[in-house]
Amino acid sequence: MPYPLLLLALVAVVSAPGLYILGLGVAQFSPAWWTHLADTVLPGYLADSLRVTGGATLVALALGGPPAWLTFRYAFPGRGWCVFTQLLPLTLPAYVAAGLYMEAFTADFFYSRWALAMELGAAAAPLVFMFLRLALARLPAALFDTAASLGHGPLARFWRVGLPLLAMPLIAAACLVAAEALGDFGAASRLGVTTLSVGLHDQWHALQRQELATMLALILFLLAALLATPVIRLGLRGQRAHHAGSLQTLQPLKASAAGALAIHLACLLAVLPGFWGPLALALGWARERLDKTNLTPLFQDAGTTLATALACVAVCLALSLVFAYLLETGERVRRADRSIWLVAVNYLTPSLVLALAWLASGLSGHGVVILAIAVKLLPLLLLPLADALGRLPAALGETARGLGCSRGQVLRRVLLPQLAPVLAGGALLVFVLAATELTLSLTLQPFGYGALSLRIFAWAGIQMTQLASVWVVCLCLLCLYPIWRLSRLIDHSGTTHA
Amino acid sequence: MLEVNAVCLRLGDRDLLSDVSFTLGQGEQLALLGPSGGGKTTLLRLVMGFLAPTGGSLSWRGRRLSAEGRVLVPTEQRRFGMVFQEAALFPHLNVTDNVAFGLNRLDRADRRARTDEWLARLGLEALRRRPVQGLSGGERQRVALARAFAAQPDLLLLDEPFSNLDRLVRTELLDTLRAVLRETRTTSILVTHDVRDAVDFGSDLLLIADGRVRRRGGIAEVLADPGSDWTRRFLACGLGQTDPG
Repeated sequence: MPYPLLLLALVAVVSAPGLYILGLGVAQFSPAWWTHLADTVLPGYLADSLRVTGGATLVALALGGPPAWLTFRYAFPGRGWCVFTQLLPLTLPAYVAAGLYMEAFTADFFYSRWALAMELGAAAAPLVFMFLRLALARLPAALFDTAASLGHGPLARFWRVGLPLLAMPLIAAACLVAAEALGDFGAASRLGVTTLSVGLHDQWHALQRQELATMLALILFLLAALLATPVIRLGLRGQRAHHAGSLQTLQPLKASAAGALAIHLACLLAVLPGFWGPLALALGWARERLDKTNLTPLFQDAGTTLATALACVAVCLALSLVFAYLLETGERVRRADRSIWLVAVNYLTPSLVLALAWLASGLSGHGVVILAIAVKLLPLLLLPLADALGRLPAALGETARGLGCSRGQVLRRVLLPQLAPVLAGGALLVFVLAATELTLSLTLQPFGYGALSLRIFAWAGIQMTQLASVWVVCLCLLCLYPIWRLSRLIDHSGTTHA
Repeated sequence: MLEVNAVCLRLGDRDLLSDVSFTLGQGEQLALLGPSGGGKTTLLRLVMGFLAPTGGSLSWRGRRLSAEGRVLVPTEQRRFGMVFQEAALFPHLNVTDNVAFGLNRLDRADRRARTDEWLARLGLEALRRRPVQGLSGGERQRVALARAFAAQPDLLLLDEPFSNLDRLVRTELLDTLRAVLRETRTTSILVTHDVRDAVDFGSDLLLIADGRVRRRGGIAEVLADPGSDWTRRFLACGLGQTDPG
């Protein structure tokens, strides 16, 4: 079978859940049901979704953007610590923070959709941070040097050169956050905000209205497809247009003592709502409850979570290597853009929508949970990998082939050494997101399956988050080392481009 | 006048530049020649203020610009233009906006007039609305030159601007550059590893290798008397001549 067809087959397999929903929505299309939906619950779901998504996007950009610029542009003592802390909200997803805040505070704000927007935004801020750090690492220094030579000071250079160059990645990051917020189920259901995802769950699970549920799933899938396009086109790929040949990237400037202090403060404040606040609450309760806690179920849940996350990483790495083998470099990657878009849509599609597809397959078991999470998170490895492959000169593989290497040898001896940092970063991110994943685990869990996220969500659902505090701290500890390794990769990424 | 006085740059345990001294008068053209990795671009970046020297000093018209670990006058206040090897055109701006980039202190009418003048001088009128991504290498360098000249720099620094171009385009651009430099009496330094470009460009030559000055003088003077075996071999190779030995 020719390689392009093999590649399409692989993409079709990983995109199957989303494509199933699309097919189901089209097959079950009924104007009467659509009218009913539009006349009843849809306006409310859409209004809540828009408010929450818009608010979360603004919060994520505000919390993730400035620290990305500051930690990239300036060298100061403790910069590595700042980069590390910006990723910590990944260890405490929005559904965890929501439960902790609601239990700790009685003010109306913490029960409102604005709190949901804040919590979702704070949880997604690390994605904005990582996205922008990657974009910043690719900005050619010569553009800023030229602007300086034309009389532009630091602020003018940022405003007239940096910001326009970052516009596309910023839009892509905003779309990514919007998709994450749109797809959230755990935090929204906890706060009682009826977004499209919560509405889907209500229609399907509580009210058993399959037709309405299918239509809501289709709407969510189409919204994900809409948001995927800017993420792909403007995110990583859009930056290829800025480069021509060999370019030195921006080198950090030495910050003064006062400047360093200000940056530390800014980074601390950026992570306060998404990590330090919830962690402080969890630690306080965990300290009180630790000696009263039966640790056996805790260790079992932690073990299952660890096993699931590692298995997801293994599946994603294996599929990514197959993908890399099929693609090699250069021209093939450019032709694969459309396939990659489909894979990206899969990631951005709300987990609840994908869960419906998996349930329809009739498959069950721990393996299905692993497969479902791995397929959802696969784009986090695949997209950077495809981008990195596209940047490698085609001459590398061609030279190796001319020297007698088979395709497999080219992958192993030439491409993988170049791609190792990208694969490592993707794998670490997949591990953390798999460990903290809720919706697919909740929906597809077989009997007797226990995970840290499920236990936390269950207790939060009956307003007993304090009981879950030890599980919260355990979840955070489980993800600390991968987060630290990921932060090292990010901090050392992108100096001189060959 | 540019005065570079015993400038050194040390990075870690490597001496990138050692005891480099020269002066450049108003309206003079200097070709900074040498093999790759010899310190030419590093010296240029010191003059621009992107780096601070470890030792020595740089002055322009008697005003100290940098000295021993400190940049005293930041780049944006020096009024030195720079043209990079890869042109460094702003991808979010078209040709006209790139050329006008350094003119934001002028009023609209003056900005437009100056931009139009330099688009015409560098033969770019037909490309004025073109996005820069689609330009050829020669066109990109013309835009970069127009942008630098439009800002009326006191000193123009060119870091291997022709090395990515074929010989024909390179010759045309060099002729254009020399004519404009003559008309505007702009002091300039061209960094190149191509001996022929250096010979065609400037009145003076500064040969630098391993961070040290090997030879300084007028072009004819240096060609007639290289001063050392190494210099003679480097010049002979660069001019495609057989080393007389």
